[in-house]
Amino acid sequence: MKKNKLSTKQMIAWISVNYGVFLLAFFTLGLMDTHRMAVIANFVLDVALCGVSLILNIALFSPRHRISMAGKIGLLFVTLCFAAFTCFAFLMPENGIPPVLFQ
Amino acid sequence: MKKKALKSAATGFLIGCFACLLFSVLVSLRVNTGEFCFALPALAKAYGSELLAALIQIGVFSWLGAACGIASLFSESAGLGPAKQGAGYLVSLTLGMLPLAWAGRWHEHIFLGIFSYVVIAAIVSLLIHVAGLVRLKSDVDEIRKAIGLGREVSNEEK
Repeated sequence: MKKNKLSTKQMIAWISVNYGVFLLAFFTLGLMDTHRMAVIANFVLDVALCGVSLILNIALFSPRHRISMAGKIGLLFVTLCFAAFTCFAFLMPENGIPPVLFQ
Repeated sequence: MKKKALKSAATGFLIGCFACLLFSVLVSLRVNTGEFCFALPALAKAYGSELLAALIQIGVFSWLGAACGIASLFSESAGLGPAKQGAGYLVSLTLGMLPLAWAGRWHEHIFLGIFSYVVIAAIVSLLIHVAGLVRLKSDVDEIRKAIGLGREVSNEEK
């Protein structure tokens, strides 16, 4: 079976697309805070996007990819930042932006 | 390596001082009282003295700048191997943020502290990456210029 390996540029493009979708989904679905399903869908989508981005970030650490260490670690930290933001917004009841998931 | 590290740290130190000044201007614009606040008002309030707050702010920024300079050196030293390179980069960046964590009292709000660390590390890393790209581009331009000059010289000789 032929292995489909993404190039460095493609991986960075996919990670950037994930970030864009994350921001778009977070603020679009965040406006529909009265629907509980929208909040749950927002949370699941955000977690999935963070997971996929994290996998791509870890794959980017392979020596095959010619990108500076600062770039690799920077992108990893951006993903962690989004993950922490998801945790902060949905799972910590004292924040309430958007409405907390498990009330 | 030591000489290079010192040079990078000194450059980072100066950039940190400039970043501190820029930060003060932004804070003054945000406060919008018509006066220039060198130190963050909350910091001055917390330490009870504007001079002490200003000294702490300069120290924090310049220390972070110097650590970022060393981190950028680690980022460029591909000969070290990925594990040593990554570890050196993260350690220098983390050490650079220790005074910031102390001044910002991150230990009082652990989650916010971790979030701040991740955000600052991401911003600094991306800035170091962009600076590296700009440096690489200027090096390539210099090489191209040199090749162009070489051609001109050889044409004149003919």
